[in-house]
Amino acid sequence: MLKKISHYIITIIIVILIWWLLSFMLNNSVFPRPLPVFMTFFAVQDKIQGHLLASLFRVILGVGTAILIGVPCGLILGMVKKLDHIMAPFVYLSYPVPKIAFLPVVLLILGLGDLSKIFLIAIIIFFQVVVTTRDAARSINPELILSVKSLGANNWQLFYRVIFPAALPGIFTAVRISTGTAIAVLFFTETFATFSGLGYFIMDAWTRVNYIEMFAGIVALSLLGLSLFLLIDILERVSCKWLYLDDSK
Amino acid sequence: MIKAQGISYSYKQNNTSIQAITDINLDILPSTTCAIIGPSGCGKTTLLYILGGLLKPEEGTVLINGSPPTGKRKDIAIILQEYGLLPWNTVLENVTLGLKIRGLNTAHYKDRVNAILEEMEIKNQIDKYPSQLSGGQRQRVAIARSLTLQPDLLLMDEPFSSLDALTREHIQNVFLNLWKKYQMTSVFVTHSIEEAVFLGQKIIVLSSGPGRITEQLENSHFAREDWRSSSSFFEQCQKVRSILKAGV
Repeated sequence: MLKKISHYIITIIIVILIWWLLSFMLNNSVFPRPLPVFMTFFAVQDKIQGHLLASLFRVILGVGTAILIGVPCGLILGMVKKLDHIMAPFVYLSYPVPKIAFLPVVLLILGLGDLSKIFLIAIIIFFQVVVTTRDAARSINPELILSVKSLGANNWQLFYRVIFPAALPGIFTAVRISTGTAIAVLFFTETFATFSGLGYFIMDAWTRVNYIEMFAGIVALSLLGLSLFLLIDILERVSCKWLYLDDSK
Repeated sequence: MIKAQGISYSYKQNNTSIQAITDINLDILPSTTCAIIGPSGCGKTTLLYILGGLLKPEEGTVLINGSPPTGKRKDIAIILQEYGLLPWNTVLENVTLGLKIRGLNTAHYKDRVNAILEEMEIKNQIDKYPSQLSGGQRQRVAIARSLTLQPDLLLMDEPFSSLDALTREHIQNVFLNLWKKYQMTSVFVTHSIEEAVFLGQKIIVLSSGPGRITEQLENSHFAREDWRSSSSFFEQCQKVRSILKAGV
């Protein structure tokens, strides 16, 4: 664990060094040095915190909704071959559609508030979660299912004792990949017709030509993404203990 | 105990059907052991699944103590090739899985479970996960899990095939002792001639696909731990080998 933390600290130092080197070489106020950015980041904490919470609320609700609906859909498609056969073309056709382009439509129908932003994040993440979860449920060793069936398990017992735990690592992979996408979508939705969220904070600083504050916003958004990743990691370690047996020694 | 008449089964693959087994007749007496041996792809596993009620035969009937082996029959235990242990459950959780699935309060069965864990020499492994165990230990967990249900019929699919030679012999002896103690009817599928001769009171030889019975041998000397090194053991093995060869 200590080794891992020191590893992360070294990585952060290297990233900041590269940042400093780039800003030094570019020598342009659009790309400020790390130190003034971090100082501003702490100086405007009061302002940033509200935006951060607004963003956090949207991204967690968006990703959460996508997981709550997407995971059961994916598991069912993975288990019931006939249904998957019928649904697969729909999923494949709608998966590559750039749903972000529907932002204007979503804004007009669901309004300018949080709902439209959460909806857009959820609908984009939903497809990633469904496809990954379905593939995880499909690849379960059939012998495991037979052997638990032979102990007399009914379908529900089979689901929560075998299929769900077997698909859980795949679900976490889906959530991890989706979180990156979710933050990108979040940023985009917050740049339109809103006065809250880190996306707005960054774009607002930009229009005020306050590049240092803009970068402080970028740092906040990165930290938001990082903490979500860490949260997913911790949740996975707690709920998929059997995968991390060597680490605990 | 087991009466099977005229069982046939075929698999569908890309619109063609492949006959796995055909016209199998079996009569296995209670409290005996029976080895089913045959070349790869002769439908041994299919036959075992049918006896355990995991597959329905296309033709013929199977009766276990006079009734068909539906998935809900409580007294059949099946151990599959890779043992079927859940990787996300500890040894103890795996061993008590059958009890939990049948809605039984595991606390009531603590003594029974403890006795079995001790008997299978896995008592000090109960908090480990299957991936932390050796092949032999996994097999012990799988056997322990089926014993907790006190089955009167134990079906095993190549139970000892992935173990190294010495572990295999050791665990074969463990199995024999259990069988002598509990007297459950045991049917196992194997591709090892020595295993069939050592453990099978009756040896059923299947021909290659579609599997049909070439011969049924009574094997009265089975289950004697010292038999492995006697010359009659090798003679019996030789006999099974020649029947197997004739059936390929």
